[in-house]
Amino acid sequence: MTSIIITASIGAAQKMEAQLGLSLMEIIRDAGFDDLQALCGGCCSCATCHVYVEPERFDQLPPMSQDENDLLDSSDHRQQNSRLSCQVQFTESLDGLKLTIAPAD
Amino acid sequence: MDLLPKSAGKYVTNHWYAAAWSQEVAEKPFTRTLLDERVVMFRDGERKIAALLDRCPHRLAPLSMGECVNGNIRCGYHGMEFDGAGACVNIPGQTIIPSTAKVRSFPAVERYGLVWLWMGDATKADESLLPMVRRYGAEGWAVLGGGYQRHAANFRIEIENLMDPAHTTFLHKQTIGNPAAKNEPVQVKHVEEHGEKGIAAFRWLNNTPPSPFDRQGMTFNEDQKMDRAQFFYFFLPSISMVEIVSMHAGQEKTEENMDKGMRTFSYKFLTPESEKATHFFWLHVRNYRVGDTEWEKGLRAGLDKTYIEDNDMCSAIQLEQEQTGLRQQTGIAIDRAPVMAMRELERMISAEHGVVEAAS
Repeated sequence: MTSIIITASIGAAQKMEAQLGLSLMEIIRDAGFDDLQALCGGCCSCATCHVYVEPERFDQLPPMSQDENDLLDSSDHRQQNSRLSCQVQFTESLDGLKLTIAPAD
Repeated sequence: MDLLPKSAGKYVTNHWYAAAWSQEVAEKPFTRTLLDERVVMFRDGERKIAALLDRCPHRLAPLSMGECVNGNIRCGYHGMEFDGAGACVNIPGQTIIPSTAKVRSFPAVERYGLVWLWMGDATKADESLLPMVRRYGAEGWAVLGGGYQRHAANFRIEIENLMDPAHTTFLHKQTIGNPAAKNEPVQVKHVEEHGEKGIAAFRWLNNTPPSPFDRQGMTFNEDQKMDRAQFFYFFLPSISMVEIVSMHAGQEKTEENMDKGMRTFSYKFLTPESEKATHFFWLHVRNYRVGDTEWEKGLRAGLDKTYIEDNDMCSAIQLEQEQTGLRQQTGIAIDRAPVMAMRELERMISAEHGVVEAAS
């Protein structure tokens, strides 16, 4: 079983089952984390699925599109390790990835 | 989506806002509410625009109920006279003028046929910060000004509407809508021009047949194709500009080449009246059918009708927002530019006023 480890704004890190082929956003949302609004359902337009990725593994993620980069720029909470979780597909190489849900804008 | 303002202030105040068309301020006091402040405008002894808070410091009578006298404004209640700087210069029946007899004045400038007021800290007013209107006054370009509508919606709803090319197909099917455009993806970018920061949503449609509109302004050989673009700009905090380009296909997209085609710069200066209404000043600059006054009449009527369609929708949305306390319950792909515009706007308001810390 593949998994990711999610930290929300309140509470400890939780290990959740992660299905291959889904986006990180879908995995977090399906695991019941309400902090992640993901209003647009994955079309890279609302930036409400913002997460921080563990810095050591940030480079393992697929590169970011210009649209994602622009939207992240509009967040007051952007960090070096920010991503929009709807834009990252979960693959075997990301097994055990640690994510923190970023504060809402 | 949490797009509701979290700033301690409602508006960016340290900014030049369009307040009136120059011809609106003539022999009589002219009043308009901007950013929740009712302002009275008149012409001082040098015919320059003066703008004061529309409230006599004595019994709070609106000064706009008075009259203009010798370049001053005279209160319609007891005849106290104030000059363009807001200083009391005459009180009938007495020689002493109390130091408290003064009215707040707003820095005012006329440009592009409009009166611009600085609504914030007067010491920060700087004419170099006035917006730039492209090609205004340039040879070969026509300016259609004087457009004004009052829209019964918060300026954020207006900005979201103007940053959204996708709505034209549906809301404006009677006017500017183009069914062919509905599936074309829109790109978004950050922009900065002459110190004005903003966002542009745009799309190029390349190698398409000339539209009926193109044929009104240019001539074509048989089978000649067009490259055409729409750019939807938002300059913080309150200006929308739509640029439309139609040019013969295949040319490099330089400023010079685009100017040789048909080019439009359509400005909307959105000045909040309050949180529930927006002054919608529009100004249209073009390089085709210059001097054709009959055609221009039709253009003006068409633009006004289009903006009325916008107001019909925006004001209806305003009421729903007021009744529900919501802004948006889902997001769709076309939201990218409006979302970026709203975030940048809130960031600018917060930078001026500070952020309200969320209760935890």
